[in-house]
Amino acid sequence: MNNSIKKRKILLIPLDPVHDVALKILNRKLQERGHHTVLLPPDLPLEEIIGRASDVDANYVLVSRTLGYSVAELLGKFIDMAEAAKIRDRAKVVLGGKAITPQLASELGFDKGFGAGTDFEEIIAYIEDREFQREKEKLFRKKISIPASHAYQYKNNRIKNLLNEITDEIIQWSQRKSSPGIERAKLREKIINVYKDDALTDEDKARKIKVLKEKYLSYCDDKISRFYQQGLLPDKVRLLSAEEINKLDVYIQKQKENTNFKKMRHTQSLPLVFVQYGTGCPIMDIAHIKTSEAWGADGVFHFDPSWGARTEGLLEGVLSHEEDGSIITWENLAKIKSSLHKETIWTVRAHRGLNTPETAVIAGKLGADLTKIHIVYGSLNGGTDPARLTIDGLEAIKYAAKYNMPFDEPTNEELGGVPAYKSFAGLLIIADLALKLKAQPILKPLFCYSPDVMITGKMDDNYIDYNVAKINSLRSIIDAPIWPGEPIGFMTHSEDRIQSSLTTALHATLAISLKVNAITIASADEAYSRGPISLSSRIDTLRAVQEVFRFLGKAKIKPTSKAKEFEKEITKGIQATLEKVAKRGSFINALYEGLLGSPQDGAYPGRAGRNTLIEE
Amino acid sequence: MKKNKLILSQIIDSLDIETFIACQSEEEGKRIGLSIMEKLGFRDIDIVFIEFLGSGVRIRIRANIYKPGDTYGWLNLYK
Repeated sequence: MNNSIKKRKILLIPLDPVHDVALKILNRKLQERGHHTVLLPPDLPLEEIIGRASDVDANYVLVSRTLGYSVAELLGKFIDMAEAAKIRDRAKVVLGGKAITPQLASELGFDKGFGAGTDFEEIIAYIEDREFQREKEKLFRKKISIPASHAYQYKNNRIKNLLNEITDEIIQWSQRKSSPGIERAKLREKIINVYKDDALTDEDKARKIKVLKEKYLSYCDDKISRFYQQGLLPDKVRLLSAEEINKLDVYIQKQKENTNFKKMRHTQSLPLVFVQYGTGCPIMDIAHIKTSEAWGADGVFHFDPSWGARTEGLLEGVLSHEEDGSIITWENLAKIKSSLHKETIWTVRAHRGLNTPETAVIAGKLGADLTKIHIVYGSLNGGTDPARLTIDGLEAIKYAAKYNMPFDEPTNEELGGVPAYKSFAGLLIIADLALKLKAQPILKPLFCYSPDVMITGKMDDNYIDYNVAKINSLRSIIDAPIWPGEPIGFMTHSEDRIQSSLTTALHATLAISLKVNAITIASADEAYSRGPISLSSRIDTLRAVQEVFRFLGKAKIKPTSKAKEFEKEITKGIQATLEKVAKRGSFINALYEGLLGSPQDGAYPGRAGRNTLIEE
Repeated sequence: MKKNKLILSQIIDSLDIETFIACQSEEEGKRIGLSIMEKLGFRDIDIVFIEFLGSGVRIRIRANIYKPGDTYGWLNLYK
């Protein structure tokens, strides 16, 4: 009990047939603070209420109304009767409830009104005649390191030994090899270092950068060179104007003043919830990002256009693109980074194309928390030549380690039809490689209704068993962070907003039950392909996932016995695949020959960057 | 009309109308849905979702106000 508070006498009146829960809660809180309260029951006639109010001699009369019908009429009558009974001479009469707005309360003649969703503390502050202090920033999350709680210890010795053999061979094969992508990454790092070197004059910087850029262009495609040399941008790409950028900076500043955030998790600490952005325009991206942050997202990740992965070299400037994917330039990413809340985790996707190492450099230099690298998926379903992406991916992993960016590896090959066990074999190879290079891999199996499960019937009954099996199989092999994506429920969504949001939410429920480290969720527009994702559709799924955290709490989903069967099958398949790869004696040839995903599965070695390796 | 346009300029990207239209086929429902949006003055419209069952269609129609890369009216609030 706080003795410094002036104790009040408060009468609480539920002006409602049954609803009085809010008043009961408020009553308890007021009593805890030492106030004297009288709580009337609901469903009393007005005359009796006024009679009892006259007897109480309260300082404050709190009236609550939940039901929305006849609100104005009833409350108007109440206030008139309170005036006539001279209750208003002694007490402040306050109105609150679901059906109330402060404006309505004022119009009806009440001293104060509190609408739906009012914080009880605000009402108590009013009664105690003090200012209600909203917490300056009520953010319900802190940035955490996803791999921090994992030791990366292997639990399956046979698989561990196979991986060791395979990754030793990869590292050996990669010696004295480079690529245009790697050379550009090195030059980009030097360019950035020159920009940041305060010891240099502007003239010195300009001179050094000119030399570096000339070298850089020698490793670029014509499309990129034309931009630097003639100012020609690709189709559907434009530079944002200075005016737009100025307004964007003001927008960012205003959004950063927001102190209202939804709390995503209920009693759980995991999983983290990520959304991906990539509308094509950094302005629109930032609008989506700031809204996602407010609605509870823990992290965001950058989605770039597919043509970027097939083009040697990166553009510069704050660029807008009319189609899906926001172009990777230093300036675009810097602008997006500047908009992020300090507790928002930021991933920049490097994973599948010809600019993988350079993207990792830019991400690292800008302070990205995470990146994404997956050699196998990028080689088999991402269109990049396996040899090229292996070399580039290795370099990107080294940069990820250098810049302390854990990276996730999505098994998107499954979407092409590759069975999970083969995808996971590839996933574990890259994870083992990362560990040898002192990086921190995050496993990203898909929670998806993939072509393979459609054909084999593994999800004919439910979406639970096979997804549980995936997680448990990986966990039986290695203690590593697991982050299902991308997004969860992939290929279960339709254009039906409710169905789409619900399947996302249900897959989130499974993820929560399994206590995975993080999830990526789609918007409700996931299946809508004729236009960009709308901001409202993003909120749909954030809100839905928030609700499942509340629904599930610490309870769990129980799979059927099929989950255990599937788990054994997956683990056995992983081992068998790794044995084939080890026996082949060449990871690159294993990729080309389909051991980690064949044309029959739906995997095709990519061609972008073929025959571009530089032997030192 | 100018006032309407100014109000719409504060929509970040799109305006969806979700409703149930009484009709006898999906085609009819589609025609009516698109007509509703046109009568409301929208030009860049698309049917995001439509399902005919029972007495009509459940439909969601989108009017694109701004697409990525456009000059956003709402950004003018921030000067």
